[in-house]
Amino acid sequence: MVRRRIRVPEIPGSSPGTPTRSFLNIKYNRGMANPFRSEKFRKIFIGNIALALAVIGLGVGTFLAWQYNDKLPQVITPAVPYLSLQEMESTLEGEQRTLKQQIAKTDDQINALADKVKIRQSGMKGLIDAADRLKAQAGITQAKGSGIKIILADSDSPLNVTNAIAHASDLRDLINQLWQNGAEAISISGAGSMEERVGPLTSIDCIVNTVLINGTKTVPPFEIKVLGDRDRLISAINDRTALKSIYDRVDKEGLKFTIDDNVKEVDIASFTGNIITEHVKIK
Amino acid sequence: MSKLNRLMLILRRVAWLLLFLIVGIMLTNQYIIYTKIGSIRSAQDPQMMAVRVSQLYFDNAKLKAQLVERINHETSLENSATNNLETQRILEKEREKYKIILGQTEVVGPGVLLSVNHTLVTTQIIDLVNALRNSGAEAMSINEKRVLTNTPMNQFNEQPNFVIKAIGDKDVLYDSLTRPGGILDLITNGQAERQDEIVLPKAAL
Repeated sequence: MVRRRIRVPEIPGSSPGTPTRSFLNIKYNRGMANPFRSEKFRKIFIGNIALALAVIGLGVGTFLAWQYNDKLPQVITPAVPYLSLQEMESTLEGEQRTLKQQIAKTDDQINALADKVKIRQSGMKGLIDAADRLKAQAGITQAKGSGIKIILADSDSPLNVTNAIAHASDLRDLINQLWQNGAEAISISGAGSMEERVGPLTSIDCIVNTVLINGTKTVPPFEIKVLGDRDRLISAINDRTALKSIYDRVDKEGLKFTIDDNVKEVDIASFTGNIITEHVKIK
Repeated sequence: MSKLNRLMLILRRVAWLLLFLIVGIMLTNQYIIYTKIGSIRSAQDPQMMAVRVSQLYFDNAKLKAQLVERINHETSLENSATNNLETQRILEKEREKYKIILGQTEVVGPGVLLSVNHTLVTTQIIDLVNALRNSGAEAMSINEKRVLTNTPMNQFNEQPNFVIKAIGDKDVLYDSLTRPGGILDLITNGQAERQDEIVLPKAAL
């Protein structure tokens, strides 16, 4: 450590300098007046360090106590309510995933039980088979067969242009075009999210930069699996007039919209969204 | 070194330690908060997240009800193992539910009736039906044709006017359709009215 030597003028009223030790890396020559050793300074300094420590201690204590007790952050910046919402959203998404898994598991158990009932109560076989057919039609069971897989993704362009990203309305238009052309079952998966079957009460909505499908948050790239006649479906996807909005943006903004040629067969998950009907009754 | 000097030295070090401890805690805290603030892309983000959270609450409540209904169904089926009549009742009830969803029967319930006195293009009809589903419509029809999962909307193109009926919570449906910036404002400019009883036809085969 390099120590600087400085000359400090004598201060009237202070005791002459004695061999000194450094204070804050300043060393004082013998014989020089050291203001830091003066009675006045000592009074003030010692008094103040005690005061400073008291203030610091009080500050730390208050700060730690505040941090400890502050379970729900107070609105001190606009970020705080946002962070609370973020946390809540994450919790609810986890709950939603669990609920959907539990519903799928319970449905599997009901199917296994129905198979047993068919054996035990053979008279019920017709009713169970009829219910199974209806469930398959409603998309409550898995579907497998010939089909296509479509990829819809944001453009790679670094520019943040609204038209360069995949929107919920693109998915809605695409699904309508697929139903129009003989699709038998459709599902959509976003990046890292569960596969969502397009089912009886499915809605596809956009909230800022995410797309909600069956209430589940998804983000591009989207994989759309479609069960049905491949040639007819491919022809429908290549129809630039019917899907004008998508193709215009593919050409101008680099939106990605392709069919995965490697996929000839698709395995589509069952619908796990809501099918509770509280208000509607058979007339 | 006098005792007083030693004490002062220790106190000085303690003071510096505490000072840096506080500064460290505060800097870390600020860093964490501002890192997270960085993820807010626009002033609308917190509002939109609030909408998403509220939607999640709504959806999860329905999923919970559905799970309870499925568990009850499973339990009833299990308990009816030796009772053919009870099994039949449970299976019929299950079948009815799917018949409603698939439009295989005429249905009734409260809801909204929406009248639009001009033509709509396919994308407008798609958005309108989507908005109704998002607001909890359980069954609907357009110009007396049932709208199901796989109903293409192209068939309604070029029609001079529309009568759209949707069964569900009539207040929720009405409010979501007619709120400022709602679907009626945005695309259709039509008239909505609450109805206590709406009848929808069964789907054509």
